[in-house]
Amino acid sequence: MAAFNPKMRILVVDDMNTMRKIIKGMLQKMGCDNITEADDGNPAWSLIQEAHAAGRPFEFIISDWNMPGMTGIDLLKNVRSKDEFKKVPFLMVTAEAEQSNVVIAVKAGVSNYIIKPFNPDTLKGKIDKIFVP
Amino acid sequence: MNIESYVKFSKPFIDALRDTFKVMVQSDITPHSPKMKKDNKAKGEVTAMIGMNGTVIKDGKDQEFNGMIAFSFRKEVYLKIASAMLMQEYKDYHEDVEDTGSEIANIIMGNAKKVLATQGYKIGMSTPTRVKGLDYEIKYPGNTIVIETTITCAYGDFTFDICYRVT
Repeated sequence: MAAFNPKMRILVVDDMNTMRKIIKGMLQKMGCDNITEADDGNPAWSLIQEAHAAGRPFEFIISDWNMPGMTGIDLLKNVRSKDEFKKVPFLMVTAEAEQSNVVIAVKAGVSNYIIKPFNPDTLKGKIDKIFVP
Repeated sequence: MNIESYVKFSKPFIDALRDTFKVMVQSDITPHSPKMKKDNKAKGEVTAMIGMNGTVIKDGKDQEFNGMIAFSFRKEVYLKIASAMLMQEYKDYHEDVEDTGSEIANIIMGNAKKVLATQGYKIGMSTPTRVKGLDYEIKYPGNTIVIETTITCAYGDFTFDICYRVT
């Protein structure tokens, strides 16, 4: 995996405005300024495909697990089902800290997993583990 | 269910609240003595609620249970907590902070669920809901005792309600 580049196109998916703003704020403090938000897995999946078709694919996806329309795990499964997105780094965010959830996410091809609550250092640490140069 | 059982059931929620505030609000919390709530009124202008249901192993058998947690904040305290969480000052309600209370409730429930699983509870979480306005009547599940705890944090006091019943 290439090193983390703050200029990469990042998609943040969460049905909660608050958590999207928190993650976006933490990413901005890391120098990221190309961040798109989606409030559910369904619009996120559309945005991922549209961005790819437009030649500006997302290079990193951060998604909540529990969302009312398409869940994060279903979004991850959709992403991993297409050859063009198989290698897109995908960080799952969840409040559900049970080990069984981690196993489900790993089996579905998640790149890393972060449990709420977390601070900017924890998020950066999780991202650093995905983008090992 | 007696108050001791409630306190035991509440502990993972209080622990999760303490951890969440330390990590995301940069504040310690002090929970005051829990007491039985005598009415259904929200104690602040912003209330976030999340229901739970599932099964618990009791007397060697799986029994169904349901319950709810709710947090009520005065507007001023809510905005200060939201500002700390979002690392940006909000002096009035804004769409960015509409669901801050719901997110707190969601995180608390998700973390408490893991601990309660070790005590035999299998919990399903509902989607959090929120209301704004004073004198709001919270619709707790029927036939439950509601335990109310005042929580002090660096930005003021808010209340945490919890109720559950084995059905």
